[in-house]
Amino acid sequence: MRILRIAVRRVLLGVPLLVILLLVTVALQKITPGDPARALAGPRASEEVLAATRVKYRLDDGVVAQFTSAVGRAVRGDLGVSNRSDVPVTDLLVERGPRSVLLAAVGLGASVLIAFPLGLAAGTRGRRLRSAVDQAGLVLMNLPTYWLALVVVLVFALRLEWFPTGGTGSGWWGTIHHLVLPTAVMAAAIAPVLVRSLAASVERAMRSDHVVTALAAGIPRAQVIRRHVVRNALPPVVTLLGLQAGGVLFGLVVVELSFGINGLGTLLFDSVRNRDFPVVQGLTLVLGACVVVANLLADLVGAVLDPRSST
Amino acid sequence: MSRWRRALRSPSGVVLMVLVLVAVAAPWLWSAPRDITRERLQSPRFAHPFGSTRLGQDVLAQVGHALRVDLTLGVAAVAVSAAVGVLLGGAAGYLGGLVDRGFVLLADLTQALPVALLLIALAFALGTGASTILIAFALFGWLPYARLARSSVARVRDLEYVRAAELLGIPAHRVVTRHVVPNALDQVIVYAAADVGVAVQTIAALAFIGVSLPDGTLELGRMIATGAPRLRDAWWLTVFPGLMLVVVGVACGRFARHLAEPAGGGR
Repeated sequence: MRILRIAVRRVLLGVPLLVILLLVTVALQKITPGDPARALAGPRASEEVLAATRVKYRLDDGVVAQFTSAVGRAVRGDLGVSNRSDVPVTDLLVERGPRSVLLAAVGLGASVLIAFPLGLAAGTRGRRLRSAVDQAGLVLMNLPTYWLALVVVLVFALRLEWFPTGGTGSGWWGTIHHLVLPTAVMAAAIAPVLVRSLAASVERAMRSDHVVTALAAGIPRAQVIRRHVVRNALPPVVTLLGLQAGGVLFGLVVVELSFGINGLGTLLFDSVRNRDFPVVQGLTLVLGACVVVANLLADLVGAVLDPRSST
Repeated sequence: MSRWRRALRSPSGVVLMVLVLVAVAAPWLWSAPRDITRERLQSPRFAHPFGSTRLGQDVLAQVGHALRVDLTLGVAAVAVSAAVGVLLGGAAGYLGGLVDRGFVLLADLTQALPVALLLIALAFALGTGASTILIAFALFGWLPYARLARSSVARVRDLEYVRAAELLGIPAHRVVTRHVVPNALDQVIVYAAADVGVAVQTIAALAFIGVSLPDGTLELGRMIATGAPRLRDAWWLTVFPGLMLVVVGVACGRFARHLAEPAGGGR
């Protein structure tokens, strides 16, 4: 019952967020200096194209009409057409998306695999490891991701020549070989946050009454940690992972840029540089929706994992 | 006050003071960071500790000037975020009731927004420049300050001396400015100290992808971006501005931690 309530609440909060995102994309049209039709259709557009754009986006009508038409188009899956390449934005998403999803998934997976044992150890093994992890984490969190990517390329690709400098490679071996450095950089950006919060969470759980009691009663330490500490420490970290989604996205953009991976991040960057308005608009909407959904899912999984929710 | 003195005497405090001094004195230390000379693309050496650029400019001088730009923007961005946040959160905490409910909803919504993405979109729409950065921080940076201000104002408001002041008939605005705000500001300042580092990192990251500051601005993120294509033969163009960013971030983070420790307490 409790989970159902949380689910309903979260979904109800998610809907206005999507509306806000849509509003923002419409607002982008408004606050960009100059003629919005020109911004949407691109600098090369003829008068006829501009007129058609005004009709399609209902630019001559009020903000409300523009917004409802934007909602209608978004629901139909029409995100507009790139004003540089005349390719529909949805096609660009389908073409570029998989590479970004792969990179994000591998980066997140690696971060969790690194963070879980480290956070658990730091939380249970006492102060010295904990403070070492804290110190290292502070430094790692302050390494600009894009800079770290460049330094890693400099050392491991240009000097040592262990890995390629960028691109995606072909075949499964080529793909893996090309993914090593980007994944490492993503993990270096994401894992420290997780380790620190997991360590804090585990430490709190270790001090809780029922854990202290269980240990005093002579139940083996490993069993107590597995059954009581981890279960209590995990939910807040999962929720935090969801809140990191926006940060992961930003990391993705700069990692793709630094390694020359042709994914959504590079697409966003190129579109911003070229003032390709429809693509920026579409990406803001789609990527923003991904972040909102990731937040929502993480909250729900956190609630499901929480031992208190089964009572 | 001893808390500040101790924090400033810690290693991170000393580093931070040196950074601020360098930033303030940059125009006098290095008068012409853009002057073109014949000493092109020199690797780090005595005359150019951080090397020199393709046009023979001293990288150390450029990093010094960029630090000045970044720290100024970082402090300004934090000031804007904190001002908006303290106003919103303070009002919510002091007034309570419906205002507070509305605030909580707004905070929940803002927290779930993909801020990095919206920053890029906003910078895209408004164009590059310092004002864009400040607008972006005012819109998206206020949340933690508002939360801090709200909880500390709500806590202080119910303390006995504040109640007593109210009962004595001292007008509400005097109670707020004399008693509530000074107590609530403490945590805000500690948070802001760490946040300057985070803000500098954000500004530099946005500048790196080219959405916050015009090309050619002497800014650390921009310097990394312009140095990147020459990574193979001139690594110093990329490495040193980045190292400076790391030092700024770590120093701010550690300084804030020292500041947060209670006065007279041990570690």
